[in-house]
Amino acid sequence: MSNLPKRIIKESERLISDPVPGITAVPHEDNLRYFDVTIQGPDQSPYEGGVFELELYLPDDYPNHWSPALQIRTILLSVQALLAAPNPNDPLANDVAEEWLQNETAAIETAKQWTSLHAQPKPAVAED
Amino acid sequence: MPPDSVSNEKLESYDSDGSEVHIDSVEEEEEEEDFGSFEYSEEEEFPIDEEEGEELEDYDDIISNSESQFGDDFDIEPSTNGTTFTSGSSPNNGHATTDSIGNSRRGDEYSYGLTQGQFREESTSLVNSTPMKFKTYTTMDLIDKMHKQCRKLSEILVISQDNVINLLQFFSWNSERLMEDYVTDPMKVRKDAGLLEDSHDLTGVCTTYPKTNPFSCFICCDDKLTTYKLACNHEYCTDCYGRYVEDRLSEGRVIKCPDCDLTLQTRDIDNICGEGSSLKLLESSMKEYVERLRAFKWCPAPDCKGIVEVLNMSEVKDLVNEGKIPFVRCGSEGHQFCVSCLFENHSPAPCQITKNWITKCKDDSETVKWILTNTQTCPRCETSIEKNGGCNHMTCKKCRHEFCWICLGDWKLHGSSYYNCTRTGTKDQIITNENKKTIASTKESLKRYLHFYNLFSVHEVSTKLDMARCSVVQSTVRDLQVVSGISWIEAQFIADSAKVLLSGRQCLKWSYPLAFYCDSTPLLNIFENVQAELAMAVESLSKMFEIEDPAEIVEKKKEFIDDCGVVLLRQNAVLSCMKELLESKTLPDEAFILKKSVR
Ligand SMILES: [Zn+2]
Ligand SMILES: [Zn+2]
Ligand SMILES: [Zn+2]
Ligand SMILES: [Zn+2]
Ligand SMILES: [Zn+2]
Ligand SMILES: [Zn+2]
Repeated sequence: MSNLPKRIIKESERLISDPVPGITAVPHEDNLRYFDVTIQGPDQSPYEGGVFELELYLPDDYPNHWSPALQIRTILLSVQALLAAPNPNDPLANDVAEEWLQNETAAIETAKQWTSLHAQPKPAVAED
Repeated sequence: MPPDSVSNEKLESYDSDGSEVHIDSVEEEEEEEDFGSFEYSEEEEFPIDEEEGEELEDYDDIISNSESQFGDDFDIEPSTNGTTFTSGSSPNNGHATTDSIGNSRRGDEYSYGLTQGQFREESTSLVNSTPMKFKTYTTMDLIDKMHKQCRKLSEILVISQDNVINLLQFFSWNSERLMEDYVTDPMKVRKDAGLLEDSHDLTGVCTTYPKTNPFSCFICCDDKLTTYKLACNHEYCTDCYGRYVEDRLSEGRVIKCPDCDLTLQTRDIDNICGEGSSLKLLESSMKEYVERLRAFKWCPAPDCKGIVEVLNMSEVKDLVNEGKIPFVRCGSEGHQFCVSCLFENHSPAPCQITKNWITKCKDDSETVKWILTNTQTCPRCETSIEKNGGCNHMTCKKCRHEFCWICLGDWKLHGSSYYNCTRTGTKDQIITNENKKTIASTKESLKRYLHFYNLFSVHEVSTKLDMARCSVVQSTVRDLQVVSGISWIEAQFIADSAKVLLSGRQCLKWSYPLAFYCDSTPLLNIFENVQAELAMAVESLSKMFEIEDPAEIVEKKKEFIDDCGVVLLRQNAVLSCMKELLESKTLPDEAFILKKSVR
């Protein structure tokens, strides 16, 4: 944790001074590679109205062995984009993707329900 | 669970109708008319092992010499550019071989390969491995060949060699396609490959900034004094650029500007990462290059970089159909491998059986794994328990012991939190009644397979141990020779015994796949008996190699020779029995019909 690359400092500063609409990212005070992130569910998506809490950890090789095009900002934006347009063909959770492919309407309904059950702005319950 | 060799990724058979014509074949109608075996002298252990010492500095020399070296007839001379010989006469086999009576013989009396070399002459008709004519190459030889191809293409397409390298890497070394596409629409090809449109590509620019006015690098956000940029003007400090390029040198593809599609050229790569760095990229793209050449085969031995060109590739198909094993020997390491299966020399098992066996090992490894992950024995009373739900908190029906499915630890020690478990679990599998039936029948057929598979892999492991032990013994005896003046001839029995041991082991190991496919019970019983006898003889000889004291080993010369005799006799018995088995057609079609997946 000794010296934090300047790039991370700059990116953090910019995330606060010029935030991405619908996204907040706050670094932990004791570990500046660790961010608490919230992403608002995109309008017109089943996640609309929900607020999703994420944890972001920048690995030790960031940014040195990463493509310069990949910044914290772009990573968060792509997560937001995935909420707006999920891609069940390249899933993280196979069972969920299966359901989504078999019955999209039902899957979207479930997503809406879970959003109102688990992703409401105030009493935050972690999703992982 | 399956041995390394079985899961080998290079496992692919050659494309038998290879009708492709390569640019290379045009540029290379050089060399040998006469593939005859070469004479070796016994002082010269490995006449082909000549590669070291050619450092990158000498690289230009190698290129300029390469024409003459490639053109020369070098089947006897050691050469940087590959040496031609047939497997049977290659240097490792050159030393004395031992027949079953223990007589030592010198090289040329045997014209077949190492494995057969130890069998009695009258039994050689049983032996089915067939040495191929081949040429060995090193990585450097291949780089020369790649450069030659680039030079040729650069003349044809009238573009720089640097450009050709980029284009070939972009086209995965498919030079025919590159030529076709480039002739049709050079601008499009250049654009797709990330080259500038006019063919006079500019090299990137290295800039030095004054301390008073440093460059602020976007990647590291630090103030830096030296930078690099391509024609696109995307500029980064040399540290960041260097790291970026370095990370991609082993990927074998064109490297693009960190921020756009412009491709870095050879000179850029060398400018950024130091002279010779682009060579690393070329080396890593060699895999694709070699795959384009039908007669070129990578040695399948783990970590071996040896490459072999099979000169009589057209004969492979017929040999395989006759049940012969077309094999070559990679460079100085002497790895023998079948050029049809791209697997170690699997004599006496024929290629089809080998391919089926290997595919089976691959296919079933998943099932075996599944059974192993879904049945477990209670860590306390060893009752077999099948997992029938997603919950990992297990309670043994017999002793009521509660344990964790994942780590087999006592459940109580996990405390209340399941997530304390330190082992990562597999995906939960819910077992329905339908599944249970499948498991039962799969288990039954797996039992037979596992029986033979276990025997097979036991000998695979033993082969490695034998090899290690043999080389230790040989070197301690060599040391003793120096001190005590025992002659080379006198100590030769050790090398011979080592060969007999390893060949006996190989014969034994590959006889199990054959037994697995054997349908007829009476024949199988006989076969298993002779196998067991060979196994005993092999283990007894293997034990001799455990003797630590070199003096004792030399004293036991007679015992070594006797044990070798027994191994050879029993090996012959296995081979005769096997020949009968193969000829009696008691093997089911399954053994010979190749699954589609094997190609
Ligand atoms: Zn930098
Ligand atoms: Zn660029
Ligand atoms: Zn090898
Ligand atoms: Zn084969
Ligand atoms: Zn129990
Ligand atoms: Zn556990």
